[in-house]
Amino acid sequence: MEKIEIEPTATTPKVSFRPEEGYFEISGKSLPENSFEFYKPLLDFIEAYTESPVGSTSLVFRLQYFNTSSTSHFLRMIKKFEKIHTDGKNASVRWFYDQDDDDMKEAGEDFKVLSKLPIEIISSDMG
Amino acid sequence: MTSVIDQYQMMRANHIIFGYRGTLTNELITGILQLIESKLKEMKIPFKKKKAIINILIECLQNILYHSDTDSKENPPGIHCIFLIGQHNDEFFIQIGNYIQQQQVAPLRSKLEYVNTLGTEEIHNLYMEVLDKGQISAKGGAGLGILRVLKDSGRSVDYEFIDVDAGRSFFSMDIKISG
Repeated sequence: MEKIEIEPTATTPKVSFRPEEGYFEISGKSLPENSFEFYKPLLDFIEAYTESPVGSTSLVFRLQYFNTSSTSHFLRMIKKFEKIHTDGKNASVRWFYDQDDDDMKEAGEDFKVLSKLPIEIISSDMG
Repeated sequence: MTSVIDQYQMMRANHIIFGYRGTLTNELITGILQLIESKLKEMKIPFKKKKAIINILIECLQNILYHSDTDSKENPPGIHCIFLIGQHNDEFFIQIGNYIQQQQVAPLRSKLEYVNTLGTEEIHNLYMEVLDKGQISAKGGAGLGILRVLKDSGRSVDYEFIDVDAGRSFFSMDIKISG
């Protein structure tokens, strides 16, 4: 599968999907006016990847702000990766949050409750 | 003519930091967010409160885009609204107003009446339930916005519906952000 690299805009995040490496990252701000239009192609891509994933897959989030409709799509992504986990291969999520950002930390913890995938909530200095 | 000093004093008396009246687009929302973020940084507002204010702004302003009556009968065509942010006695407030269709009034009023009765834990539980169900509207909304507003403001919201004509109502919300 080809990789996806989308540069960030004022309302949409940086997207770096590297299927050959099993690495999928979303970072920055996610406030698209229509989150369905932005995330549907990415969700379709992930779905196709989960049919034959590489040995170890990592979904990484490094976000500053996101609207609630983006939250829904993040959960959909996480749930799509559950298939890999269920099929016996490695898949995990790393949810980064700025050390001062309790709100972002809690968002990660919410996903942890709603998903069967291992989700690591990691504090970092995001500047 | 209202003099500029009158406008200045009126805004000061109403504790308004920033006000916007006019058409709304997602690009404009981005600009407003940058401006407010910059202002909150200048005011040295603690991170947690700054994040809460920005989160509430995102949800309120994007909700205007999702739910407004696009036939506002004003010029130029588009989604017309008012948005005010201010601070009084260490408490921030956000006030928004926009036109909606009459048929939206009853369900929206019902939803707000209900969520306003919920405590912190109940809001979180409902948020998780709605998130887990994962339904996305045709315009991309997830039904979570008002729950985030309540969670981040820490209290219930004030709202009002004013009939404009047979087809339209003017919906306004006043959100106070605690602590």
